Amino acid sequence: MTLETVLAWSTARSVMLTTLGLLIAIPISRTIGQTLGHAATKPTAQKFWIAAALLPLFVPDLLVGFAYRLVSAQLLHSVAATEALYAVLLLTRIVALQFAVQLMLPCSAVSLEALHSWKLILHRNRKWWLTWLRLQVSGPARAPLVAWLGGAMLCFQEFETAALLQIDRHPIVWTVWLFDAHAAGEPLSSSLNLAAPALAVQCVWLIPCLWLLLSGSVLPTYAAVDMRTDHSRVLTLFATTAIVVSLGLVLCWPILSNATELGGGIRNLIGTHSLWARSQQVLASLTECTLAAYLALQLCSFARFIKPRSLKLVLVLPGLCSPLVLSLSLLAAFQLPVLHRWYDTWLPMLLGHVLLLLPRAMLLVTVLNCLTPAAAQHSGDLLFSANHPPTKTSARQLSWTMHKRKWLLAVAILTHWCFWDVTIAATLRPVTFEPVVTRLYNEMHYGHTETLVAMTGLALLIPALMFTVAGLVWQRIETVGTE
Amino acid sequence: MARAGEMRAAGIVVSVLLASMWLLTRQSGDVDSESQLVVYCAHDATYAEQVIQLFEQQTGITVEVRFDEEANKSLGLTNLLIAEQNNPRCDVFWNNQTLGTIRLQHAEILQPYRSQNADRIPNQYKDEAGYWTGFAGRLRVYLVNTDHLSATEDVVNKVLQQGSLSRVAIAQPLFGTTLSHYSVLMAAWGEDRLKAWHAEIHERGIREVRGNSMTKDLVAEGMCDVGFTDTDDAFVAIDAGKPVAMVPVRLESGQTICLPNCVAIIKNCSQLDNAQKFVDFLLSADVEVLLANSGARQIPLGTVKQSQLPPEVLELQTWAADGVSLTGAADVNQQVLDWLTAEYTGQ
Repeated sequence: MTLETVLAWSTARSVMLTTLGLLIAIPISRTIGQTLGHAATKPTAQKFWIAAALLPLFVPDLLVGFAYRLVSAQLLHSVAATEALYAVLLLTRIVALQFAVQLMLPCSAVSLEALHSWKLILHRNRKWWLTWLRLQVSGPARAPLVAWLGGAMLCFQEFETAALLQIDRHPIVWTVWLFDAHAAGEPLSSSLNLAAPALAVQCVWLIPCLWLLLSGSVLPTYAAVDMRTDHSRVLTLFATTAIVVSLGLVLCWPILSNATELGGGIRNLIGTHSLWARSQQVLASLTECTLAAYLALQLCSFARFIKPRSLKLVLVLPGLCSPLVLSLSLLAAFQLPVLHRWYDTWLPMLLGHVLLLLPRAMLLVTVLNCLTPAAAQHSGDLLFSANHPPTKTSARQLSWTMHKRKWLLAVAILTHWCFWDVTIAATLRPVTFEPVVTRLYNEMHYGHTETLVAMTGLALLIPALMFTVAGLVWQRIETVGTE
Repeated sequence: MARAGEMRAAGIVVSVLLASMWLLTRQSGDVDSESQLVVYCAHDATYAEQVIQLFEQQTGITVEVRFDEEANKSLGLTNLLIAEQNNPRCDVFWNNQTLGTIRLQHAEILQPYRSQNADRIPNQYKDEAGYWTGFAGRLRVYLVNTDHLSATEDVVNKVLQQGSLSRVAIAQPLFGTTLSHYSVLMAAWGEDRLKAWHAEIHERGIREVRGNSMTKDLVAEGMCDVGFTDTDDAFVAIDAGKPVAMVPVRLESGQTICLPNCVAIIKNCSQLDNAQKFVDFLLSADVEVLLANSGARQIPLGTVKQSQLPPEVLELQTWAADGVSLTGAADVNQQVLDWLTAEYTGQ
């Protein structure tokens, strides 16, 4: 199968799935948006529904692929069935992303009155239509468009689940095809050439996505809607079903089918005195990934000052080349005499992870900046200059709520994505360090399901615990105590 | 003020994270570099760790080991060694099969070493010039689900010779031991017959999956009746109590396919003395016995005390005695890879 065919399949799959995903994500966003705008809805219920809808985005691809690998193998002779399974699993993640985008982005930067006024103009020439289009794109269509583009990119970049579900023949995923081509002996230069068209496809999605994100910064508003109407009831039923099915597929089934192994796995780890060693492995991976996430976010923050804006794109290009091409390029670079002294250190892996995270970090930073308007930020900063201690305490609390809590969450999200990346960790790690995710892969191979489940538990629990503790400590530092 | 505070906080965060990274991975930081050794190991970590720890206890040499990942096994250590050719950080390569090591030999990445312990290994499993030496092999086998079929050579051959193969699984031959299997077949049959056979089994609907591990799972779970795999994967299923049994893959000549581990020293490595000690250790009878008693049940290729071997390995030894020489397979390995690359990726 040629590169052109592979790319055509991957692009078509991305376009179809992100369109389908949007049709599901919009009702979910509206339903949960209604609960946000509805005074009668309890905050706990709101948080529950938001968490439930977002959760599939954070279930690692690797684990989803592992849970469904045998189902996929059974379907091997039916291309349609295999593709359908892959599509359903991908859809859960795409819908979650699209929901997140719509939840965070403003509903519209253009008021309904403005749109109505524009429609009243009688002379509908080319200029009218262009402006009408611009108003739609920066207005009601902005959030769905960003969600559509984000979903397409997420689908296009996917590798781990496709590899484990064996989406490697007809039709195929370009990331798996590239892996196979390189594994079969393609030199790095050739792999880079093969990745270039895929990079171009992603730029076609990324550039408008960034442009749309940078084109407005109005806070989200949730209109209070009467939830007792029939239309709302249908909407709510559809959204609830979609969330439940999604969680059932990517969370409940993998947990239920492996839960019985957890106890035995923990006993194995304790019995072989490896519980601490594995926890240490998780902590080491977590630390490196947190540093990578933090640096990626800082770089994106500094990128605000880069002029011209198009140069920012250079920062995100390596991360769009696929982890395979990125890691192989860095491997080759660190073989050069000028860089070789740092080869067997943390630096190549750290650099690889930072570059991998930069596109996602840039999107996150843009979204975060949208969420905290400059005026509100400035007002908060002004409070710091007050000589009145209670005012300063209020300023800190405000700063925590408006700014720092969101950034901590962004670091946590990026760390999570980085933590579960296999390719860069496997290729660029120093000899003395074995990332927990590569160990997990090997446990899958040996069929040590008990140990695998126990280690997965540790790999999910320890980072969650560490970030919760870090959040609580930071919040305490920020909100307690005065000058 | 606020900006200065943020910069200070950023500095603290980065420092704390860097210090934590150092603390969490400094296990070997205090070790004298002359008593260190870097080993790249493609054998499964679960089994190899025990052997390496024993070497460390016996010699006081600290081994920094990099295991291959199943995730990118095919890309893994052989390609990494080629990439590091000009600045090697690895001293010894412990490969879990031979053909990849021969590829490194052709790329002039290895240096010869004739260990005294290599004398106990039959000539067919070692390089004449001493660039690599094989030990502790595994066999290509058919894994049979005994709930569905009798695990005999006749029954398996009958299944493979006619009818649908929709309940037979094989790993994609671009990678791993299935690639070695194909190379052995090309050496035995020639290119045209191998291509015809490959086309025929696909026309008859064989299930091609991405690895031997998946093949094993399909047979063990009853989704397939027969799978082409290796003895170490087969034992994972047998030990898990699955209804499976093994039958050796045999060529028309009656020969089996035994794929030994093999060890080689990297050219221009920094710890040559320690590397030679490690090679001597791996080629000892004790290590072959240890690997035979591990979960992988690897088959000793040299002479060992039979009383020290588990019964299942004694049976495998009789099959391995019929092992085909891999010299012919090594000669055509690249040819097979080129053909399969074109077949699977269009390149």
